[in-house]
Amino acid sequence: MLFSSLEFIFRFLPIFLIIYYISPGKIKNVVILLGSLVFYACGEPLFVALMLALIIVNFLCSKGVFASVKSGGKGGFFVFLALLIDLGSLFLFKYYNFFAENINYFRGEEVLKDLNLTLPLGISFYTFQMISYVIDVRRGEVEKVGLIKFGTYVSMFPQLVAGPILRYKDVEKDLVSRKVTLRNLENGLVLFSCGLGFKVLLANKMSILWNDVQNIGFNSMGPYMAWLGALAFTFEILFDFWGYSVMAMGLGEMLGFKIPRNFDAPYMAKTMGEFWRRWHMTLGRFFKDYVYIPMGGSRKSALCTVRNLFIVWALTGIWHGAGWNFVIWGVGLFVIILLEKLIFEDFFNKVSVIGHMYMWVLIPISWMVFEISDINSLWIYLQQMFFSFDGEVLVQTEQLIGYLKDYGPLFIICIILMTKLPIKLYELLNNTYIFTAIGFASFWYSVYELARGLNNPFLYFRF
Amino acid sequence: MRKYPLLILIIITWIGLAGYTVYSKGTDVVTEENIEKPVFVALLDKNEEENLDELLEEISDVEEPEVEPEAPSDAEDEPLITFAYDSNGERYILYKEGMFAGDMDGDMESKDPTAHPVIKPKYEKYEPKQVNSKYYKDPGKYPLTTERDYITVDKDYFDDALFLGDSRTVNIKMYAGLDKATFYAKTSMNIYRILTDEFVTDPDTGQHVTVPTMLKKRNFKKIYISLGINELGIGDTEYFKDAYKKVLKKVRKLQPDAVIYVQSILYVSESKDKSDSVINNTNIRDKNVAIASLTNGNDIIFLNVNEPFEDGKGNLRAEVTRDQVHLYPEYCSQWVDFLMEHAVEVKE
Repeated sequence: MLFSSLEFIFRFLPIFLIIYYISPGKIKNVVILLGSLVFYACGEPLFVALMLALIIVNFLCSKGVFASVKSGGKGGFFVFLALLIDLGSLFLFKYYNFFAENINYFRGEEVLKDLNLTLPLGISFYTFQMISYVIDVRRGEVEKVGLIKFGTYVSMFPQLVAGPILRYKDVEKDLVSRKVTLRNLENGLVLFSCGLGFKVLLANKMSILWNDVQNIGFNSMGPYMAWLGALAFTFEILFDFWGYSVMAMGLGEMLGFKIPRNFDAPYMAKTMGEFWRRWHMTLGRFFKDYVYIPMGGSRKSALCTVRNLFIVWALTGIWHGAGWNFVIWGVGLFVIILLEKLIFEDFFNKVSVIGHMYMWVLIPISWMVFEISDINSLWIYLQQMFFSFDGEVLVQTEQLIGYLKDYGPLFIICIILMTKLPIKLYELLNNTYIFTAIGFASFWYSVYELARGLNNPFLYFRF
Repeated sequence: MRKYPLLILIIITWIGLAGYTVYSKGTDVVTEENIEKPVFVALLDKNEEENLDELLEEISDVEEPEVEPEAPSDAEDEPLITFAYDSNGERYILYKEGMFAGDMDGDMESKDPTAHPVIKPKYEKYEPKQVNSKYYKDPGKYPLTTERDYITVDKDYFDDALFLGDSRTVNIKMYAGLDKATFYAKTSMNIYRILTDEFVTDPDTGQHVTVPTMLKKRNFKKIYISLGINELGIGDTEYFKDAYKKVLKKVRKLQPDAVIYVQSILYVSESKDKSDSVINNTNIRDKNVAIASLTNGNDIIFLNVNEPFEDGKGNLRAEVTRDQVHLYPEYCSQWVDFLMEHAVEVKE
């Protein structure tokens, strides 16, 4: 069940909220837990069992760690066990196919069987939250909690499927006691409506353009079309993911939680390093807190720093998906960020025009590496972007102009909204009727688009 | 209201829209499916399915531009007449609907002794499967290109040709390099709207006009029709055939000298075929059999344009498409190559 589905907006959410608001404070966490399980089971009727099992196992491990720490130990065994199980599940469901495929390919025979496992929804996110919790327990950063609270923290539906990746202390206070008033609902609704608009009105529309560009085929698209497509995807992925994160914040607010921000105008960054401090911020935080810093961060030798950076970025790469393009993408980010740290960073920060220009060449290219999973196709696409593909360009100028006319206004809106303006406006004008109007328009226009998509008489009329 | 303006506004709007829907459409609309979208049922576009009869009527009611006053006003009841040319270049009636046994409108014997034999397309048969769909059945066969003498021509053959079609034809327009040919094609076009939509830009006036308006103004020697993919989920095959026939009649009447090429509906790829209960190749074959039966092999010729792109199992080859429906631009020229190899001479 996507947030941007009518099923969620008009069925699940109102029913859940009514139950949630009339339930007494003491059982509100239970309501969230059960509601989230229903929410998850709608999309993953089988894997809900896997999630439950992982919640229980991690909870028991955390108990073990508590007990061990209390008796003077370090709880290493239980941390190890939890990591093994969480990362093991992640590996099995997310990476095994890719791994087996490559082993078989390099050995030239079927060494490992293809298990044909599908990826359980949100597993990349909730395993990380469980790991984060168990480690925090070991570090003594969180108090002992009950199973309900822990289950609620892991599964709470606003952030279950696609983050933000919480740390327990983000929601610790709210889990214990929070004020839930209709005022929360109002504020959450404003945020949710804005996020919905990002997703439905901007990202979905850009995805149509990106899809069109792909249908043209990479061989005959020519460099300008390649750039247009890359830019369309660049905006699609921003407003898709940011919209989702804003909806998550809004839903969190409705339930009385403060869910951390995940995006901070990333496309306004002047270096790749800065970009990643503003893009999917909670993922960066996870890798920083649980990989980079524990390995020594940048406080040890230069070589050590390089190694740590490499590990973090390679992990970031493959976290996003099991495929060679993600490996290339992650390692590419490492090289770029290393070069920035060694040479360019200061310059780009000082001469910000150059910094922005550099990023605006780099961002679309990096997203293409991210998006195109077939290595041959990716190579062709990159050659097209660099004006170096040798093939007949079949796209004519008129067609390109046609696309620019159709999508020009949308691009302009996206460019305006990718700045800090929306965040500033929200901080300034939230709780005024201006945001009521924006939320109202965004909500109903999005719902209209969604309903039209579903109810479209031209469903079989598209070609 | 002052404390929770958005919440209250949204709830009021929701109730209001739902109420309006029930008010204007009756309680029938309160269905399981509509629960999630109760709000817009009344505001959304009318469902095309409900108006099948209107659609067909509209085709027949296409306004006749007032150029030839002697032209009968209503083509509805006229038989489909086609012409051919004898060795002196004289035109004669080649085919009149209902002339032949096994003709599309029944089993009447030929009444016209001068009639030229019609070349009906041949079919490749296969074992049909049981299909449960309101849109189609498995015909158990698919039509082959009309068997007759063809000449191979150059691209200038298309200089006085017209292409009528949907997005697949739009791709030919954009990518096949036929700069001088005329295209009245549009994404999402279908047989029910091809004559009634004002989607053609008249180069003289810059206005949007219908295809018949342009057919009155201009003269084409060849007309290529490629429609049918968007119709797969509207009405059944008989209905589609009816509409197609009406369109052929109209076009034939407005352009009596043109040779009309009815192109088969291109298949979709295997993955699309397997995953879609409407847009699939059995449905396409059913429709192709229907439109092939409308051709006569003389001046209405059936071309199975699937030939260059088929994978041997009745699907579009996977490597020629990304979206499982449209050809990559680089393959559009192969389509045109096929047309160039299957051309008939048209007298000036």
